[in-house]
Amino acid sequence: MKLNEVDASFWKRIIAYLVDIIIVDIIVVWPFQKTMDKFTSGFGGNIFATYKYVSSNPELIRGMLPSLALLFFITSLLTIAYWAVLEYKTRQSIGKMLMKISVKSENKLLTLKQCIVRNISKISGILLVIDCIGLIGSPQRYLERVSNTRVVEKRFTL
Amino acid sequence: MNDARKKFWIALAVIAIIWLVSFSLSNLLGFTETSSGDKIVIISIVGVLTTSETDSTLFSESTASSASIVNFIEQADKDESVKGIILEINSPGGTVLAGKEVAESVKKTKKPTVALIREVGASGAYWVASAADKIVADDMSITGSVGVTSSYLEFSGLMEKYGVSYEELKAGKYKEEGSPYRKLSPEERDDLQEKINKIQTYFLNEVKKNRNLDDKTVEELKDAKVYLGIEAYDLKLVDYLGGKDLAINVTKDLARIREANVVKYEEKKGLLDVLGRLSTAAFYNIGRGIGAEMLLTERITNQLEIRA
Repeated sequence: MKLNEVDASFWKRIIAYLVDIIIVDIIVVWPFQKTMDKFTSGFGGNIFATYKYVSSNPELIRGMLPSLALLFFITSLLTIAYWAVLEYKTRQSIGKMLMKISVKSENKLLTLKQCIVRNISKISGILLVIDCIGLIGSPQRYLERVSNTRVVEKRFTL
Repeated sequence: MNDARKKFWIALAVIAIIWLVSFSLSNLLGFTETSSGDKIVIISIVGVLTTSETDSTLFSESTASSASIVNFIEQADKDESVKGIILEINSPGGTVLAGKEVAESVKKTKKPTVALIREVGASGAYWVASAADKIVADDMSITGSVGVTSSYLEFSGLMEKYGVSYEELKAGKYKEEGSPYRKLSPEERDDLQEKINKIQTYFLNEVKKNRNLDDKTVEELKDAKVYLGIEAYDLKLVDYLGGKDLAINVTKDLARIREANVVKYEEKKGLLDVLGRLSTAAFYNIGRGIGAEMLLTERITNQLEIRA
């Protein structure tokens, strides 16, 4: 029996992602919560009340669009930074460490550019779902194929 | 240092740095938001003030529901980014309770309030305006009318002409007070007049308190005359003569802010709401007879109505 690096199981990846998203929520989203409340007018997590309020007051959104765009840009950048920097430095995010899976480059060395590209879709749930369609019939998301990376785990094989 | 421990410290450092950057940037953004994210809210009060939630029908007067207005005022009060409220009034007044409810809500709010009287802000609508911190009106706006009216159509002559008689069975001397099928008795008239006088006294006292008016002005207001904006300004019934821009600037001054996004709170009416209301109105009017509805509108409800 040999200890080999094989493609990580889908469920391990899902659990790792859920752990990471909780951490991102704490370190990136929470500090911006008060600023976000200004856009949602204190309706907090009530998406329906927020939608009703915002759609009744289009002038509100028009006036705050630059700040809203800046907020989205900063949180996106920090979200990507969490995964990209950790994966570049350690080949693992916190979730991946817990699930004992890691990122591997199909080239020689894993570069920061590869780590950034493979994590771009994590700025938005919709982008991530589209990216994950690539997992159907393949162990790699679309952006993992573009960045020549894959997520692996160590497993004993014959 | 073994590999696992090294990874742990790197992960901790990355998390700490990202959190620090998030925290610093959010504070920085929060700081800029206070100068650019402040809001002044405009709440419209258009049409006859009423306590009922129902909207105006195709053929009846447009109405402003006190419940909706109070709801908007409370919403603005809770919102930390709202620094001031402008009540944009174009209303001849309405029912006594509706005026009172909105005026009390305006007084209760902690935010600076400015009433902007457009074409008309009279009677109960002036009551509401008087509760605001400042009133802005155009030179030609119509305001005042600090009085109470109660009216209904009385058909006894018409019924007599067509040989229709009205039989009244009642327990209690004043039970059928205000019935449109017979004339008021002198006692009933006195009783109703007394109530109307009481309401006017209450109304006048509220306006006097809200506007800090002297007795001489209150005495003049007792006649329930309507005043043009320029006349109202001389009587100190309004504070400024001007329009929306002035109202916004006055609100900014009261809130001590230099910049603000002006937003309008309004009920969003979807296509289903509009269609629903149209069909309700249509069926209602078919039932009542469109002719009668168009000619007499809602005054023919056989109900004694007291309006301020």
